[in-house]
Amino acid sequence: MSELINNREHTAQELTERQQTLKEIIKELHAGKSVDEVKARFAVAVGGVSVAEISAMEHALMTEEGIPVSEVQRLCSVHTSIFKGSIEDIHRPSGPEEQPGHPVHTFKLENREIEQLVNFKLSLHADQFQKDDSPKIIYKLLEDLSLLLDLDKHYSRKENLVFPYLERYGIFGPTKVMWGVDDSIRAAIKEAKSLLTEYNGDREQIGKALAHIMSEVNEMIFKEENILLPMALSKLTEDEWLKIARESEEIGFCLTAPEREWIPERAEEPAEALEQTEGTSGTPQGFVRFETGIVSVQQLELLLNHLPVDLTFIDENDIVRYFSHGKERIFARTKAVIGRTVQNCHPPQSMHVVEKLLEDFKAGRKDAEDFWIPIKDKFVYIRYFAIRDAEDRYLGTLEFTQNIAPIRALEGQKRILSE
Amino acid sequence: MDKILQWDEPIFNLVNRYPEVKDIMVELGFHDIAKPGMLQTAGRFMTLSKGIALKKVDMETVQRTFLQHGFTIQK
Repeated sequence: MSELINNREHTAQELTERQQTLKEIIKELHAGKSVDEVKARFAVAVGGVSVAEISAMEHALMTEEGIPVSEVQRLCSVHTSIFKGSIEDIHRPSGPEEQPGHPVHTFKLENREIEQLVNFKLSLHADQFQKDDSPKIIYKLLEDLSLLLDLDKHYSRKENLVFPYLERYGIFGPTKVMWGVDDSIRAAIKEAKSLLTEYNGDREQIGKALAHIMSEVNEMIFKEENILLPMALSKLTEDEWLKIARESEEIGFCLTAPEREWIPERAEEPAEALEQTEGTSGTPQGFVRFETGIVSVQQLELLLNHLPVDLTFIDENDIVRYFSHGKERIFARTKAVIGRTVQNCHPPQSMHVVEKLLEDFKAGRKDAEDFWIPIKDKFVYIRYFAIRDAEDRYLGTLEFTQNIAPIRALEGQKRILSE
Repeated sequence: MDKILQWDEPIFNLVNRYPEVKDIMVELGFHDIAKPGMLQTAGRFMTLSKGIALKKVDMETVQRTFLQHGFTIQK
């Protein structure tokens, strides 16, 4: 322990020395020396400099040296021209999670956008609204909230891609709790939107609703970056992050998107090996013999994916075993859910419905159950079937989801080919 | 002798050393800590200082409450 402490003191001292030198250079610049004159000294004096150090130094200049903010800002352009090369050369990302495209990097990138939206735009408009509740401001708030609803994708990626892996490592509690909070944030945003749409003059009510959203969203960012992501980083392997990165697009990104695909630095990228074990290219060869015919595994897979419905199958132990992957899934499914229990794939609020249904299926009280929900321009028909063998033993449940809006809209008859 | 807690030590360590820390934290409003699995997982990353920032609890209140239970918090 003692050597650790010494180390820290040592680096701390080095840091202040470097800061001192940087400060002197800035002052020389300020006194009128040219960029070229100080450049050489800078290169010798400063081995490695991080962005954090620069900002610490700027802060020191302002507070300790009493240099006004405007002066420091004026110097900014000069010192960035010197520092730029150095920062970029020396400030290499220390971990893979700081590289663009890494899921953690993307999550943090989104958080910065969310912060901007919530702490700047939304908070500004919320203040304006308290003074002037004109339709103009209401419209602005509605626009902010609609944008903010985009964080559904950020939360969904967390819930459907990161949580399953954490659960594999035995982490359940925090993920369940966080999922519940995610849901309450989503609900709060929707609630605030409807309050604003049917505005009844209650400024205080809206103010409270918006303040609640702002604090909850900020709190979630804090929890993600200080607890969830460090926890995930300490548990998941690089391959797992790679899978998460590759499946992220299925769900989409919030307010921004990774600038490039993350390719971890390592010798041979075993991309093919990875695909072989999980992807479609790894489909086993061979044929499946049914009572009513024989098809190849490839044919079977394509056939299921061409059905205009989404299928998900869970086995008798409630574990997700398969889902079909058609062109337009109604509810996003990612490969990460395979092998996961269904209880962990549904938001906590709808969990009791799912559990009751499975209980009835297992007890033989029911064989099927249907739900229908209008979602935007879709009319989603969700059917659950208990799968039983010849002896009536329960072997699992099939979820069958279909957008029946086009079917419901059919009228009259059509007996000729389309053009 | 005083029992000492560090601001930046994981809650998991603190509770392992002094189990009563858990109840004091709940008393202070950190209810999540009592949920199953939280301490062993999130608790390894959560510290007193982060908790204060997150829950916006007053630092003095935390310090005073712990003091009443015989703990000193150290930076």
